Amino acid sequence: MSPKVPETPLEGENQFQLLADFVPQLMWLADRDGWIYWYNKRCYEYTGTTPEEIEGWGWKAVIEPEALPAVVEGWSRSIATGEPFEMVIPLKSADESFRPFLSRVQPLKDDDGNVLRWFGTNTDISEQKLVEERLQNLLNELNHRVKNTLVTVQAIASQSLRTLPRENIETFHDRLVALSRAHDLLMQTNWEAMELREIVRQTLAPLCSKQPCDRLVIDGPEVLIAADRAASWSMAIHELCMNALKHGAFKLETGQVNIAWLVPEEGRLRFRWSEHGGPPVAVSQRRGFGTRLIENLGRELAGKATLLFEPEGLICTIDAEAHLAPGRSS
Amino acid sequence: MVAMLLEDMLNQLGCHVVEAAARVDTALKAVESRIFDVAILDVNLKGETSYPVADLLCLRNVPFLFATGYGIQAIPEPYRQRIVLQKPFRKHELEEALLSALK
Repeated sequence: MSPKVPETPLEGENQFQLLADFVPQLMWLADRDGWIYWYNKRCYEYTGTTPEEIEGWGWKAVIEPEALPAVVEGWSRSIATGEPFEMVIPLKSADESFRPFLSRVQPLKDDDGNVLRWFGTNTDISEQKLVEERLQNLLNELNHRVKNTLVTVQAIASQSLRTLPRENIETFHDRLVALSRAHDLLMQTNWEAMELREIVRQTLAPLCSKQPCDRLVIDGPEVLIAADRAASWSMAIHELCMNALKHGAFKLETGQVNIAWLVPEEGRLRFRWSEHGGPPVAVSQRRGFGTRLIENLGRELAGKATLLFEPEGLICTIDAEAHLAPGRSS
Repeated sequence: MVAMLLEDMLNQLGCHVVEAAARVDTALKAVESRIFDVAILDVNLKGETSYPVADLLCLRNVPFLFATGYGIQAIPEPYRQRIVLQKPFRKHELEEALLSALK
């Protein structure tokens, strides 16, 4: 079936000229060297400029000055490599205000791969940007409220648990703060996946600030942990570290903790926390909250967590589901 | 409740709390009228940000630090260089932050 053409074409109608001029985007064409030799009508209307003013590289005058160096650099790189260009660029309108545009440029190449022309469109995305900003504010507000709620819990606990042994109260506070730090991790990635190394690093940083680096060895490939599981990982690592500080390798200056993980097959992750050089290990008969938390993590992660109280130190292995960071494996 | 917890922690650390302000204007007045060594600013005070208080403290060369439930990325640039304590925090973290603010 051939495309349907309107029955009554306008007088002297040139379909493509009409399309180019009335399409909602700003459009333009450049030669192989990136010299822009044609703009559609919308470009002139929006920027309030004349063809002479913005032809070639004259468009630089309507880019927000702060954004200009990156735009020129990115565009020059595309011209040099023949790769498509994409960037959000603030463009000055006829009334001198700036609006963000998504700029996308595609090359037309000959059979040998040489660029013949560049085709560019700029789409006004100020509405989307506003929505994004509102979302970000909402997210900030949410984080703020979660934190304040946790502080309130901390305050209530401080008042209500005063008669308990000091050590119990301290442990409670440690865990509450660990939960909050796990929340920070999610906040940083806007509730998206997070690298395991980052989770380990940031969970341990406040606890191990006084430990020399050679007492803690971290080794493993880049692995992404889904946001809903990052908090569980962080809590488990926190428990292991607190245990090492109180009873394990971090209690003695000779002690060392090795954290290593590997990807035995795609989508799986084997995590290992092993201690040595600490005080002799006494198997705790009582299955404490920490042990339960770690074992539970194993189940949550569609895998298994095992705690082995070896004479030279605790070994915790966690077999779990994981996603490899795209483009990397080792 | 939150202020109470902070006050308890400060007392336990041997600090004397000269004033706890819940609003920006009372905080500004306190900075003008009180004598103290260091201030702890919650970034969000009843819906207002405490940055005007930070500016005044800067002007008077009084050390201060932020305590916030917002991530550090939600704090605008000039203030981000300051000491920022993430809520909730432990007493020893508060102590370290105070000591480095007073350095």
